[in-house]
Parts: sequence; C-alpha cells; structure tokens
Amino acid sequence: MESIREVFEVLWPGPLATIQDLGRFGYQQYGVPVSGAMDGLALRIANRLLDNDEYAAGLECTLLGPKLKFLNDTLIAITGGDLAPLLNNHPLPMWEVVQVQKGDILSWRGMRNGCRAYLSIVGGIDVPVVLGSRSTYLRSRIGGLEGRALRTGDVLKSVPVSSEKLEHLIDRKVPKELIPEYKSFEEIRVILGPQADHFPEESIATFLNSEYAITPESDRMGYRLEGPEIKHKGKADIISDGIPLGAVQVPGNCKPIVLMVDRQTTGGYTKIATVITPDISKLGQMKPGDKIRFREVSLAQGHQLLNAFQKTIDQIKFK
Amino acid sequence: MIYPETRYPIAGDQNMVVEFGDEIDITLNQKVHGMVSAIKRAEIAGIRELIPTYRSILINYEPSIISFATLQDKLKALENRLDFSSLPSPREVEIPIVYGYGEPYKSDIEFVAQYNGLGSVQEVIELFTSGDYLVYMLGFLPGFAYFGGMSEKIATPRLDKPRISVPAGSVGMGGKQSGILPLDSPSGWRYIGRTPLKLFDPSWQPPTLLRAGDKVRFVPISPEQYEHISPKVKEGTFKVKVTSKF
Repeated sequence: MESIREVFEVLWPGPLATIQDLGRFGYQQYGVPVSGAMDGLALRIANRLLDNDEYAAGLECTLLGPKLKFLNDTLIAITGGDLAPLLNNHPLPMWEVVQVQKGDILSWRGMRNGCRAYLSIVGGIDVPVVLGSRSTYLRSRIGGLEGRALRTGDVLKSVPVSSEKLEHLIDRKVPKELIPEYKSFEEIRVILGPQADHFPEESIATFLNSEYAITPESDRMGYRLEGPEIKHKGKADIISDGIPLGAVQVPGNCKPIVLMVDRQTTGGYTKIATVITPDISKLGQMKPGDKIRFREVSLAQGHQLLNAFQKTIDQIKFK
Repeated sequence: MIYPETRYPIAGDQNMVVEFGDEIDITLNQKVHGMVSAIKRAEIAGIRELIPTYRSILINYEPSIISFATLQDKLKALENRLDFSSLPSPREVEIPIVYGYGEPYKSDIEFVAQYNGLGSVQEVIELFTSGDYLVYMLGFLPGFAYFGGMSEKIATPRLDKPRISVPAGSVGMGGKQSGILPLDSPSGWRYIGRTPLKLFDPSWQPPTLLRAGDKVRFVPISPEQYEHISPKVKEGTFKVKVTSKF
C-alpha cells in the first residue's frame, strides 16, 4: 500500500467545483439534505473506469472547470458534460482513463454540451466522511472540503490504492453507445403526484403540453422554470411534508420548480408530479436557457424504465 | 382531519407517501411517530429511508426489492396492529434560553409584545416559557425542529424581508409556528431569545439534539448564565438535561 498522497493543487477554482459522491442517505429524517452528484450516472461511470468504490468521491465542475496542477503521477477519468478539458493545453479525451504526471496542468476551454463535468481520481478524493458521505452541502457547510467549494491553493488527497492494480486500467474507454448525450431540449418523464389532485384537469394538461425553460435562478437545490402558469384548485400551500428527489412543486406564483439533490427535506408547496430517476441525471446536465417538456408515465412504466436504466448501468463494466 | 382511511400517494418511481390526515394535530402526529417506530422495528426489506412529518411519512424504497403494492400491504398490516401503549415514551429536553439579550432579540421581543397588545416583554417571556412544546418533525435545515404548543397569544407574522443571517441557537416564531435555528441561516421569523445549546453536530449519532416526538421545556436564564454555559457547550462539557418519563 502506498500512503495517502496529495494529488492536485487548485490554481484557479472556476465558478463552482465541489466534492460529491452519490449522496448522504439516512439523515433526511434529521433535516439533512441528500446532496451528491447532480449527474450521478456520469460520476458512477468515472468511478467504474478507475475501479473505484461505487461511493468514491469525485469533483463536480460546473460550467467551467477549475485549473489544477497535479502533484503526483496518477490516473484520472473525466465524464459528464463536455467542458472541453485540456491537459498542458492539449485536448484531453473524456470517458476514458488518462495517465497524468506530476506537474501536468488541467484546464478547460468551456462548455460544449451539458454543464457539469466529473473528475475522478484513482482511489477517489479523500476528505472526511461526514454522516456517511463525502458530498459537499454548501448551504450548511457540511462534507467535502470544510463544507465549501474549492478555492485557489487547496491541495487534495486521494484514497490510497495499491500500485499493481493500476496497470490494467490504462486503456479503458467507455464504448461510444453507452456515452449519454446531453441536449439543450429534453423530454423529462414524470409520474403525477403526490398532490396532482390539488390541480384541475386543465392545469395538468398545461403542465404536460407546454415547454418550460430553465431560469438563471436554478442551482443544485432546484430548477425554477419559466412557462405557462399552472393554477391550483385552491391554495398553493399544504402542511409541510417530505420532498422526494425530482419533485415538481408549484408555489403560489404558479411557476413550477423541480427539486434536485440539495433540496430541503420538507416543504409546504403542492407537488404536481415527480421526475423519474433515469431522467434526473439528464436534468442535472441542463442549464439556464435550456428547455424541457414533461411527459407523463404510469408508475408501472416508471418501474420498467428504472429497471432498464439499472440494467444499462450494470452493462458498464470493464475488464 | 384524520382520514378514515390512510392514503398512499405516489411520489415518483422510488417514493411513497403514507398520509394519515391533513392537519397539524397531536393525535395525528403521534400516529406518524408510532408508525415510524413500527416500520423501523419491522425491518421491511427494500425500505431505504423515512422522512416523518406533521401528518405523513415519505418512504424511499427500492422497487426492484419490494413492489409498491406489497409495500402498501405490509404498511396496512402494520397500521392495523399499531399499539399506542407500546410506543417509546417521549423524551423531555430542557432548553435554557436568554430572552431579549442583544439584537435581533431585543427588538423582536418588543415587537412581539407590541403586536399582540401585551403590556410588557415579561408577558411574552411568561407565555413562551409556559408552553408545552412537542417536536412534530425535523426539516427545513439540518436539525431544525418544528414545535407545536406555543400560545397563540404571542403568534407574530414573519418579517416582510427575511434577515440575511440569524445566528444558530436563535429561538423564535413565524406566525403560530415556533422553533430554534440549528445553524446560522437567513430567516424571516421573529427571534425573541437564544439558547447556548448546540442543536446540530454532524459528529453526533444521531446528529441532532432534538428528535421528532420529543417534548421540550424552555428554562429562562440570565445573560451571565448564557455566557457561562456557552463556552462549556463549545468544549462539549455541558450536560443537556434529557429525561424519559415512564
């Protein structure tokens, strides 16, 4: 075993780079949000490329990645949105294992598609596990690196891995047909409920037949959407209850908000529908100005789609 | 009201709501906590996580392990067997509070007195202190407890414009609701006092001082006592008074 080592230093943090894994589970009953990668699928694939633990932490880079200097030779993989990564100013391939050397500089030219890239390091990023997860929850400064986004001068370490393991990782690549496509218009599938009965039929029809644009007031907590108003039968407020991932809540201004990974655990607005799990990662790559249309699926269809989605993930294996 | 028959709304492909009613009510909330402990004891395979709230439970489940229908059947069976006499007795937690000491507490407690037509700040203190508080649920922020039991005579509407940051430990009300801020946070509530206790610490297991179903009693302290207790809490040497009544 090698000792824990420093992998990179942050030369410039970019707009928002945070350490995330697949999330913090089991503590929502105490009011602690789940957090985790907005595009969990991309992070999982990066970890699989490197034979990392499923729950290993990587770096979620938003809109423009951070400029990093590697402090040791290591293996990395970059997946997710194409932010055009560069290694020593040369284009760096995504969705495959890349060898980097001490002194190499990682930078980014900017967004080509999607908006969140995931950088994984062999072994995973090593920060303390807080309530079962390394994910950063910025609002309460929990997890990650001191509960905050990366800053210039930060030095990050990786979880140690034995070096004989590394050789066979080197040529790994995700087959083209398994690389997700990120588009600026997506059909997002939803199951109606838990409070669809608080809306008249015309409102449900409006919700399912209109285009909604993602507004700039969107972040890891939720996406505020702009589009036709969805009117309630009565009041917009309910007695606060639990909020699942992907809940589409409609507050008093009749404009929907899709709740994402950093959502508060409970809330008091009516929820017209819930985005199905396979479409959460797609949404996680969408940015202000992108448009969506919701499509209804039944619970049974939702479960079939979830099953198929899990099978696709299981297919992503490397020798 | 409490529904004659429990509802099970669908909340996406991996979540189910178990909804017993649609009001804030002690009996209804006790049913929630009773069901939560029954579900935990039953160790149903495929349930990943529960969020108990005022009148419902959000259940996160793994549909490849348990179907919606099977889960619903198991929950119905548990509900039919629910025996309130076997519920764990509530804990009673004593929370020291200093009223109106510094800002925003001084201005807010004066406003609460004035808004409710009370003669003095002392009346607000007496009314708030005499409440029998019950933690209905945790949510909104890590460790934030929603209390029931505050006298409506001191209910005070929220600020029109929330403050950018209110310190952790602030105790106050928004309308008829009351609670304690576990972390520094923006808030539009009126804060009449502050406790030196820590409400949330991710190194604790569980990470919160208060739990859903707890009873809470406020004990007024002086500014000197506050300054005395505060460093002890930081060092971790202050013992919070928690009793379980049998």
